[in-house]
Amino acid sequence: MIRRKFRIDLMLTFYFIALLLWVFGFESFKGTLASLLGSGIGLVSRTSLPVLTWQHIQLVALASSAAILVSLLLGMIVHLTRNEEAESLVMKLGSILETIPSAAVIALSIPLFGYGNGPVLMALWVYAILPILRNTIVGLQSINPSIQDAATGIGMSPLQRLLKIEMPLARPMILAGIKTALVINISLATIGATVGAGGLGVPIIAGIRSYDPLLVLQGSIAVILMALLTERALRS
Amino acid sequence: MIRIAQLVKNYGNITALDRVDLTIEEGECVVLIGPSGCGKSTLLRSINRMVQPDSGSVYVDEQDILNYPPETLRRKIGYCIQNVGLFPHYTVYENIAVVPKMLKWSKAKIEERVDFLMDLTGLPKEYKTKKPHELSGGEAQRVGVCRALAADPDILLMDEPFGAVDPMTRVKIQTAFRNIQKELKKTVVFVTHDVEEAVLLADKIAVMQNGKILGYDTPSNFALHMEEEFVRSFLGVDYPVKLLKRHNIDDLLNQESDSKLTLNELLAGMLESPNGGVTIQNANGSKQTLYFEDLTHYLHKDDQV
Repeated sequence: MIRRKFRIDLMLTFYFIALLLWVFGFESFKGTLASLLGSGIGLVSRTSLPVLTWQHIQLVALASSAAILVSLLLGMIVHLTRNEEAESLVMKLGSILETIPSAAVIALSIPLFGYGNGPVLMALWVYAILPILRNTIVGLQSINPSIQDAATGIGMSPLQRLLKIEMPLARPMILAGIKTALVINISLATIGATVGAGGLGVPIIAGIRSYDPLLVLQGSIAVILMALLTERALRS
Repeated sequence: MIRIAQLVKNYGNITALDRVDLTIEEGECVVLIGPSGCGKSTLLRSINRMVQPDSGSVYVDEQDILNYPPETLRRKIGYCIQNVGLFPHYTVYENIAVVPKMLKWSKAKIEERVDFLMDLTGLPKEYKTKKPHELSGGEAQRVGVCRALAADPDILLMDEPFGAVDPMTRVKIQTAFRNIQKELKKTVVFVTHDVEEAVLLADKIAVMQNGKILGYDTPSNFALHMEEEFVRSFLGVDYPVKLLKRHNIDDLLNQESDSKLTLNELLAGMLESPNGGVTIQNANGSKQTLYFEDLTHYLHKDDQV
């Protein structure tokens, strides 16, 4: 088990190098790609790909951290109440949030935050909450009852039991939820470009508007590689 | 000392405890026995406030347990359950040390205590760094006993602690526990549905049915007055034979030797032998043949049946 931790993950390294090559090397091979796809290189977006990637990472990281914070706290509080009704209510609420179309979340939050990053962050946050919250609640629920009984019986307070025993045991489940949320957010963040946010959606949207496959490819490949990298890095 | 007075607990319309009175003396091992759902676990769990009774009181050393916050009370009482409930992400050492750590013992004192307990229960030192999933059922159970004893509590609550291990291991761990109890003299409340386990470990047995204690006495005395129909049927008509397990051949011969032969094994030998005699070697080397009369004579000597 210890050995596995230190072994270099080939797939992970591959995705990482591919992403770096694509992001930083795009300028040097865009000419070749353009001739292959038959599109003009003059139309490539004004912001450079490394900057767009960095903006994308910032959007996803900010929204996801806020979602992790809220979901973990909410999940733990709900668990501490030991109230099954509260648990199912929170889960239902989360599922309802998930069904709102992302375009609607963004449109609805424009009056609140204006154009730019605000509405996108809001949408990403909303979509990241459910997977993390659900996995936190389910992870805490599915702990072997005799472990909980033993923890209480030897004199742990409910909070001690939660932090020392239950949260560590629910961790793989919670991490899986975080992974799902991040992968969703990485692809979802691209639609932010429609309301003036930065990120890798900018070349994609521009490419769609100008019928330029190279622009679409420029953003999409980076997004795909980033999602694969995250998926791989957080796999259990 | 634990004193339970008029304890009542209902689950819906099921009576788990029906005005139970019970006094457990210091250093005694009391075994609560009865069929499933008789209220024995509920009774045990109301001693460390894992169960909140509807009425009645429990006193530990003449103090009402409601005077203590539940966590404080539970840290003073060892707790050991059937499925062990070891914390899977902790090592054996961390599992045993968890209560002393909560009580803020010094590191050196904890280490010394863990060493002592692992030695006492027969766990090798190398096991300290193992995780629970690397242990066999019997080993996990021993770690569970260590954890319950970790903070040196005066009282030990054990809810079918050896129920989930295979019969061979169970006998070993029962014998080990019996020796530990002889040495440490804890006040033990032990729940089981296994009559032989009760006979082997108990200073006193309480037979329960439908939330009531039908009989409370030493294992030997139970054989003399099993007037209650249920007690007789639960302990079995062959109860006197089971009881033989408590006695050792040394008790019969009134001598000290390292013979481990118990009287039920002696009886088995007599049944096997054509003339009903078993020849044994005394501590001083002389030989002696024992017959069934010797057995009955010993058992009825001081009403020990």
